[in-house]
Amino acid sequence: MPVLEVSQVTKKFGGLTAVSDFNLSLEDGELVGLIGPNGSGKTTVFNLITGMYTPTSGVVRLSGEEIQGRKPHQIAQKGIARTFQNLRLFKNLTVLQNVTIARQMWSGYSFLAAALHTPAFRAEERKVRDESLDLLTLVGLGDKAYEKARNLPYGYQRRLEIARALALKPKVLLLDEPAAGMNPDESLSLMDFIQDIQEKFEVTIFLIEHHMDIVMGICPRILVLNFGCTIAEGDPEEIQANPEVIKAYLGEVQQ
Amino acid sequence: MAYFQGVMLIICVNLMGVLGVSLLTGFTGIFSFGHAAYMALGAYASAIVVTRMGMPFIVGLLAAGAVAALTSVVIGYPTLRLVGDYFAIAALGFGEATRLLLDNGGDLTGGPRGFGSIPKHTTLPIAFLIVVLGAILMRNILGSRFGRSFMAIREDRLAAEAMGIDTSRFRMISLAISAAYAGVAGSMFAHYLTFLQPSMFDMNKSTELASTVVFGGLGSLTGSIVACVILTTIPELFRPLYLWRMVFYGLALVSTIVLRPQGILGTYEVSIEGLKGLCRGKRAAAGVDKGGGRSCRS
Repeated sequence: MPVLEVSQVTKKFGGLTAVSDFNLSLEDGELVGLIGPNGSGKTTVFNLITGMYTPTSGVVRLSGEEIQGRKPHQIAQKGIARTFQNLRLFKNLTVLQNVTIARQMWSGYSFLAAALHTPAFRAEERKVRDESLDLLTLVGLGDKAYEKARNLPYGYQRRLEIARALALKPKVLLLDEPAAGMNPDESLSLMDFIQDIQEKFEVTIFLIEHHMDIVMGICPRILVLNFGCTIAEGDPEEIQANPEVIKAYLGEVQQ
Repeated sequence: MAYFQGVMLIICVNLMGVLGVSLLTGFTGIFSFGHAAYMALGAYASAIVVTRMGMPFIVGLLAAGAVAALTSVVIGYPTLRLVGDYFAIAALGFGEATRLLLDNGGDLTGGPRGFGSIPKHTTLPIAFLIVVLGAILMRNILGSRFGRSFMAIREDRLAAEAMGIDTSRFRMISLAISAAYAGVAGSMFAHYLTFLQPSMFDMNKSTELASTVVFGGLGSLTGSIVACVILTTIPELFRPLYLWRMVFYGLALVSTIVLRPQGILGTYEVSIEGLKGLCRGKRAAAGVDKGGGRSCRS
């Protein structure tokens, strides 16, 4: 059974169809890329999967359970984590706090326990904190734990956002243009980083990337979106050879 | 001496209200210009329970907190759907409506003539005890998953939602706690003055609470406390100057906004360890201050 299954999902904003009949099936442990020109509906697909938008029609299943129409926080609790195209860190909080805020989804002490700082509360807080620090060390941010998120260099902020999403212990991780705003060198090291965390955390990854060359390097399977429609799906060679994709990216020769 | 004690007591009352507003505005990022109404509801609830029903003061305090919190949930349910300035405006409207309702409350509230002969229970030690308990409780909440959720909502509501935080629910919890604090403040006030009038809880009082929190620094609990002590003391220090004293109050506020827009303490918290570090050398405090940390690479 696929971890994430999107079938026949359509989203209309008034008369505009942002995404039409989108289908996706992610098997456990896959790394799949979603590419397409600007405005082709990539981020809309993410918003539909994570509940930020409700699909006009269609079904989204996570491990067989229908999740479309649920609130974003419910979908996060069920196991889909995401990052954002324009970084959305908790900027004025520390790196550690950013991660613990995600990790604490797994701790369920009561309000009374929190107000009175009971031993059970202390134990659980320590656990969340230790796990968050371990996670930060794993992604190479261990020595930055007490810095404010906004004081990190841009590349580290991108990593922190991924670490924060991983702290939710998700089944599926959605990365929205993780290399946006990076130079080619930085992008390459980020792609290594993504492959690395996929092995370490055994998470299924679905990522949007604007730069074709980067996504070709790490994704064994790629979907191409244009004007809300899936125009191609396959491995990097098939995508590169597909005339529809070339037309979408480069335009068509007028005869 | 009695005068000095009176000022201290008013500081305690204001502190209780400011702690609540600090949670809502400083830590959850929701501005409210209607918190005087929750103080008023707490004050009248407590006065009615103790004076008319003959209950002990502690029941009055609890009733005050409960009535204010419950009202905030009823009011918050529709109005918390509004974001940003619109919620603040709705809160302002609620504040004025509450004052007018109390004005027209007939025998129950005494109307504009006021509610008199409330037994005096709020002595300085009791007020101090309540505030200290309130501050400790608030600090504990802020240091838990609840506090971090509030701060996450303040920083970025959408990202908080994507991290599995039910932001609508947590905004409501924050409002209810802050209203309960304001309600308890009202109860303390009622049993100190022994007399209540709806005009005591007008928009000025709400604005005073909100501006104290901004003055101290949004996101700093100790900042709110320091600000409350300063802003309650200034008008008293300049009392011989009659109405001119409010000019100094205004001057203090305006100069903070001009010279230190992030508030007295910014988001920095004063702690015993921090103060010890400050005594050993100023290096420790300078290291924590956020100003110097901005990286040129970002």
